[in-house]
Amino acid sequence: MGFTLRSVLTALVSLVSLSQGISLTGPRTLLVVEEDVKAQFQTLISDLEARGFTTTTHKAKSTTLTLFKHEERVYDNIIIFPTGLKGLGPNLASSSFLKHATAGGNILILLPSSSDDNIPTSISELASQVDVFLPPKGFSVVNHFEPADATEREHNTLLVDLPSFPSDTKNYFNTGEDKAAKLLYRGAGLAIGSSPLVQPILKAPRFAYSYDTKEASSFADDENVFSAGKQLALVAGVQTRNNARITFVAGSDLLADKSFTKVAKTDKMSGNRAFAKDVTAWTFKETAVLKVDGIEHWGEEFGKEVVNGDVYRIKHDVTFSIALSEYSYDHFEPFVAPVDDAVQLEFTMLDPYYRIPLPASSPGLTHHKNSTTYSTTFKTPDQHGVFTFAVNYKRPFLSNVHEKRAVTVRHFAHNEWTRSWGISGSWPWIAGIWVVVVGWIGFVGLWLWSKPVVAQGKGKKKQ
Amino acid sequence: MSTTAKSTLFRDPASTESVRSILKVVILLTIAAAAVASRLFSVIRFESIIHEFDPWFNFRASKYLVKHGFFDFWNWFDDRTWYPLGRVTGGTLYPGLMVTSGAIWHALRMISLPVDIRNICVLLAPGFSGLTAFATYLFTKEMKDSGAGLLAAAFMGIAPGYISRSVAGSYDNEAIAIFLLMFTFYLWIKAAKLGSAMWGGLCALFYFYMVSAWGGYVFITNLIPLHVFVLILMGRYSGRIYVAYSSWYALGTLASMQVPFVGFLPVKTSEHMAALGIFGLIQLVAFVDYLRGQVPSKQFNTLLRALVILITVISFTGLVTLTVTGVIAPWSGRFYSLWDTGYAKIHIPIIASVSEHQPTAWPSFFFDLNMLIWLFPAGVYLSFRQLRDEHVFIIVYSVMASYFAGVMVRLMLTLTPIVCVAAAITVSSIFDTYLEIDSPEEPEEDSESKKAKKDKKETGGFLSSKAPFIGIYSITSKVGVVGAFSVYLVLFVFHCTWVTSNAYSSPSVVLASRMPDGSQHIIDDFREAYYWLRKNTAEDAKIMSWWDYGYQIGGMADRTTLVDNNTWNNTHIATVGKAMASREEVSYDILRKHEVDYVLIIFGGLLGYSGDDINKFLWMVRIAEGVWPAEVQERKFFTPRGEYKVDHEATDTMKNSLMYKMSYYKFPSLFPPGQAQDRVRGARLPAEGPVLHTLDEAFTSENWIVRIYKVKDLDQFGRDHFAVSAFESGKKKGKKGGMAGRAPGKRGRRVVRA
Repeated sequence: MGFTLRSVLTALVSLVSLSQGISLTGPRTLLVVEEDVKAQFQTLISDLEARGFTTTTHKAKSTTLTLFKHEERVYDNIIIFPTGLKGLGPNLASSSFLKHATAGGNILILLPSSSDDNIPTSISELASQVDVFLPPKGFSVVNHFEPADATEREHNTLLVDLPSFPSDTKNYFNTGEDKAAKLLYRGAGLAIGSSPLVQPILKAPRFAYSYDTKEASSFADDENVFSAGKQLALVAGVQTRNNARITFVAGSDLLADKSFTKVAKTDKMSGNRAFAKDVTAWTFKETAVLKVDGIEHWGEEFGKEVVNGDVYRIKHDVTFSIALSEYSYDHFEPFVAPVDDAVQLEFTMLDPYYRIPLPASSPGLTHHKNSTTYSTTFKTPDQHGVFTFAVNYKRPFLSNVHEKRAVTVRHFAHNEWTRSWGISGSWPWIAGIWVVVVGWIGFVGLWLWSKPVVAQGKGKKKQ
Repeated sequence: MSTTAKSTLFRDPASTESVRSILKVVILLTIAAAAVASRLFSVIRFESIIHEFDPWFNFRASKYLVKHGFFDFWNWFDDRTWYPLGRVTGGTLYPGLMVTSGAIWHALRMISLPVDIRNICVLLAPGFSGLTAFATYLFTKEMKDSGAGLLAAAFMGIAPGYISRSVAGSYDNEAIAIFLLMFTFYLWIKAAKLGSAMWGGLCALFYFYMVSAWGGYVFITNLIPLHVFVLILMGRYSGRIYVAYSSWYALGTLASMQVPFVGFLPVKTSEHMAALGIFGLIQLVAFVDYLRGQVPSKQFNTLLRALVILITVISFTGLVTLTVTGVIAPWSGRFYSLWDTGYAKIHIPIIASVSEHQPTAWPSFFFDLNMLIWLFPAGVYLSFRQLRDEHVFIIVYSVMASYFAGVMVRLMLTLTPIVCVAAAITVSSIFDTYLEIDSPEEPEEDSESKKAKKDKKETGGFLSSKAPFIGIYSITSKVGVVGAFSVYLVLFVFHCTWVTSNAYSSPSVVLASRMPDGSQHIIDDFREAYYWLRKNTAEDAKIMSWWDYGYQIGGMADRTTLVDNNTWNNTHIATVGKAMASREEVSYDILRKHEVDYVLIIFGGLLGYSGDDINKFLWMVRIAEGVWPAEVQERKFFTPRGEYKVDHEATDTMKNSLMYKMSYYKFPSLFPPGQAQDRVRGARLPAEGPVLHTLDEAFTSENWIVRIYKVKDLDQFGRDHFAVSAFESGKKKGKKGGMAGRAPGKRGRRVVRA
């Protein structure tokens, strides 16, 4: 009973918060942070709170902290601040994080910028499970060609351009006013594996590399370099199959107050604060979340009377339309696919028989406010079976759209074939039949009407 | 009982025709009642339930017919089987059975008797067995007399060879097909005797019914032409044969082509060519016969010779050309396996894997036919004695059916009717001969003179006039023979009842066993599991199992299956075989691709149920190997010594196969450590059971006969299931950080992303 009441309350709360316009997952945010560290991230936290997130602070070793209560998620979002500890508390094991994400919760992980700080075991375990690789303690990224501060001997503080992506990918990480602003970065960097679920958000400059500061080596080689150049990620985002998001920020200073300053070299404000907003907005599902507002398919022969029916016939003209909208902070807006990208429809039975682009078009049968309708018309193949209309739209950073509608494509019914007289090739045969019929009747008539000439012949017949 | 009644009736001078007819009707009704009653064991022992495998599909199809009407049934595209291919069911089944029960259902409703379609289906076979007895009576009556007919009807009613396919609940095509077979033959004999186009037309009509009901119609399609052919060779061509055959063939073939499943087969496949050829031949013979009357004999002979040679050359060349060009389909593999019993095992394992397609073991002839089998040759001999046109039919039928029954177990069914008929002729002849006296006390002379009188009267009877009647003079021999045969008949009844009750009345979906105290214990695992599926899985869940269980899952669990007993697509079955026989990594991809939600297997190791999937496993392997010889190899499932083992000696391929893992998953935990025992194969299993990564155990029935596994979804974090299992069991991937630091070159290369 209490459980139900609680769910109702949760639903109410989330409804209310939705109307305020914040994360689609929910506002309840857990900050795993020590007091002294929290002080360095005042702006980040207050920015979040200003956007409607409610924060709860727990120390890393807290024993009262629990991520699940009655098998329900307690928090929607978690931010792990660098602690310098080797291990987190009992309820912050890697499996707890995986469970949290499996239940749909988001996690933002800030790794220490200082190469002296430890990375907690559970964090590196979590990273390895999602195909992100963290360098061990002591590594740091340097860029000797473009140091942020020439006076710094190690060149450990980097100037990084804001992310840019190819034209088939939407850029959710450069939405600030100054598109050319530089980011201040200090930290160890990340290597990411080949899993399609993990995407680099911010990559290191071309000449940067991550090396072991503990080894007194005068040069960088394969032995002491962790990763380098564009292969070295500074911020990486993981989106699980159920669209929960886990973001790794390899250097926490990127989002810290001290980076929200002017860049000495360019004498302009750094892009860090805007970038912090973009990264948290993406991680906590305030942006880049797609929603399917409606799917309609109908056969042109049936007219639009039967919509989303279960049965089609082979060689039927079929129209399929899907309405997509995209969440942006507090509202849904029509989703427009990037220029060089297309929403595609697959018509599949074991293998796709069709894979065709779905162009944006006029609304389907139902008009959905704030959404774009993508639709196309095609002819069902000459193959019966259980086919699936599948829209499998999985793009970097966008939440997954994997919609399937199984329909039966049946064969011709006995009365749907062209009638025999409708096929010109059959006319000789039909004519033949009628000639025989008429001829036989004529013959019988002739036989019956003609008087037998000789009675003898009749007798023979009887024999 | 019926025989004695009949005999006294014959002997009673006071009896009139009407009394005889009434008695005949009563006897036939009694026979029908006995036939129906002896088939009800299964209902009384168990319950009113559909049996075995195929009947479940027929039942499901009947329900569909009753619910959606005839035209929807006709055009039925079944998307719940053969996922995702589906099956054009309306066009690939013999609708006769379902239409029959549908018609009965509607008829009963019309007279305000709303009977559940299930009960109609369950009781259809017993009901039709009564009609079969009647058809046999009519058929035999044409051969000898009504006395033999009644005997044949009685034999047919209770012969286990027929009961095996027609007990209550055995709702299969054969249930009505044997009746149709006998009735079509009766009509054919009638047509051939009378030379009547009407009887020929009726024969064609019932032939059509037969075609719509059972694939065994090909037997008729070949037997009737063979009969005609033999008659022509014997020089017995007559106008009667011509009219009967032409009317039957023309009408019957056109009618049979209206069944969608048959379609153009009658003019396109080799199996039907004999009928067509004989049709052509009989036209020729008729033409020659006509010429004979018109042309002088010397010229006629030359003409005849020229004609015969010309026509033979033309038609043979035509046949060869058409076969080579592919217009006429060559003999199907199923047909070859009728000539070479080893053919199927090598070339079409899917046919060989069905137990009822195996060659018959000789004891089963005695088991199914008892004393009839040794009376049968005598009946055939008696037919030779008389050798009228219809007796030629018996001989031809006997030869063909005997051969086929020897090749395939299930064709015993077509042999049974002719055995009953022949045996009835024998027994009836024996009684005719030995029951010639009213009572044993009557003096010999009297009986002799009477016999002589009767002999004179009945020269056209069963003994031809050429064979003079030799009377039986000794009362002892009369009493002895008659007594012996009465005992045989009684024993036959006991045998039939015993066989029916013990061997043929098990529904096979419900198993019965005896408790130590003799009471019956019902093992109901199948229905338990199917019911679980029906109640606990999504409406559109796809269940993968070996094809044997496809119909039952469709019928009882109402869930979508990948393959079923309608084995029309060998590749799809081989795919399932491959999934079962491969390692988990390979299988999982197959399961995902076919969107399988659950995998169902049958495991008898706990109970000692020998018909389980591990015992069928080699067939899965063989069928899969037929399609993917590189990926699945039968040899790898045998130990180096060539043994099929499941214990610690089992090969790695065997131990890693999905079927093995699913069968023995958690099985050793039922026993004390190291004591796990498979009761079917008598093997002691390794103490460490197999581990499953990509499947979760979802359900295991009470006696572990049915085990159902749920296919895991893809991992949320993009890991493979082996990594997930490793992580969850605490074996963490090595500390990435350290590794990465020490071997960055390696790491760098590995993570290069496009």
